Amino acid sequence: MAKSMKKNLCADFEQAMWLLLSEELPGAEMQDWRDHLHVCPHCQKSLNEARQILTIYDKVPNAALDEARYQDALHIAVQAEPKWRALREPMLYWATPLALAAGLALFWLWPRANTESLEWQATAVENRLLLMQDDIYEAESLELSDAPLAIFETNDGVWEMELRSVEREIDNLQLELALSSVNDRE
Amino acid sequence: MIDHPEKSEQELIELCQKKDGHAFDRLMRHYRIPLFHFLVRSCGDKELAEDLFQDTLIKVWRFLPGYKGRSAFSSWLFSVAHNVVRDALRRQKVRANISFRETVPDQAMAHTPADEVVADETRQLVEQALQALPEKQRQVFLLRQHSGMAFKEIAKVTGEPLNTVLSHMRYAVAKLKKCLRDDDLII
Ligand SMILES: [Zn+2]
Repeated sequence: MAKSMKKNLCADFEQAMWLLLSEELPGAEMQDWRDHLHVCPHCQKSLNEARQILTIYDKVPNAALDEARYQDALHIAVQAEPKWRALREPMLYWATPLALAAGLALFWLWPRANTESLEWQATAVENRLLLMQDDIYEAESLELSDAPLAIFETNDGVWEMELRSVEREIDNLQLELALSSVNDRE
Repeated sequence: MIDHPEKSEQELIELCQKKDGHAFDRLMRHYRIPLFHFLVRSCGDKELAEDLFQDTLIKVWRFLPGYKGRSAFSSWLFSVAHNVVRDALRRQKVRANISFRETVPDQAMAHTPADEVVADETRQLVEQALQALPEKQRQVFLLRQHSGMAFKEIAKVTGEPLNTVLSHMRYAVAKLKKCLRDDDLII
């Protein structure tokens, strides 16, 4: 009985070890595991090995980012603007909802939406994004030009946009969703 | 750059939210090394990591006004980077198409020629082992090692339950261990 309890404890330690190493456990639980480590050479060995691997990893040299490249990135970031171009109508702004010829619409997520509405929109947007991605990959395969273009038709006219920009906008929507849930799930 | 030399991180964030480019430099300068290392290890390619660094900065600049300070800024920043990596891997199928281009290590970290050889061998092994990991395991491991995020925060960022995140970490380290052990770099 005692042996099987210890076995369970050792199995649990395989997961708890990481929280112990990153000091995320409550004090009492931390102490329980320290007590266990005193009497369990198996778990002590696992912990030492994990520490050793992480130490080796931290010492492995990594590539450096050139100062010039960093400055470029910074400069481009603060100047970046989405590029839209209308074929038959005036400028379409990037936050405007757009529809594909297939009738797929993108929602724009207002950052201050409440959680319930956000979740609803998240599902709706995700479904549309999945559908839209399929269309985009199809458009890409048409190789409309050197920089593949996506053509959109809305009630207001026909628009073209570099496919890369469309993809970036989709990424941005998904990132907005991810960051909203990080902010809201406190 | 000597603008805002004595500002706190919180003050710099507020200035960035008002689109102050100098404050953005001060803020990003502090994180650029761990952020770039995270990106290099995530994709296994220095040039691609430079592009991802660029994308991350663009998104940080764009989305920073929505940062509410409920999580540490570093956690928020690395969750942006995590999303950038995930999107890039999905779109470009990096792992399938890139035949492990060499990453050039930071020379300042290697001390003697003998050390360099050992360090370089270890680096290659570690990078190969990382690239061989399933994406989720690799991302959890890298977020933990480079961002200093707690596992509970990583669970939020990746949208996975805490226990799943801990399993990813466990398997990632086990595979790294096996790889290093096979090459006698650990006993
Ligand atoms: Zn044990």
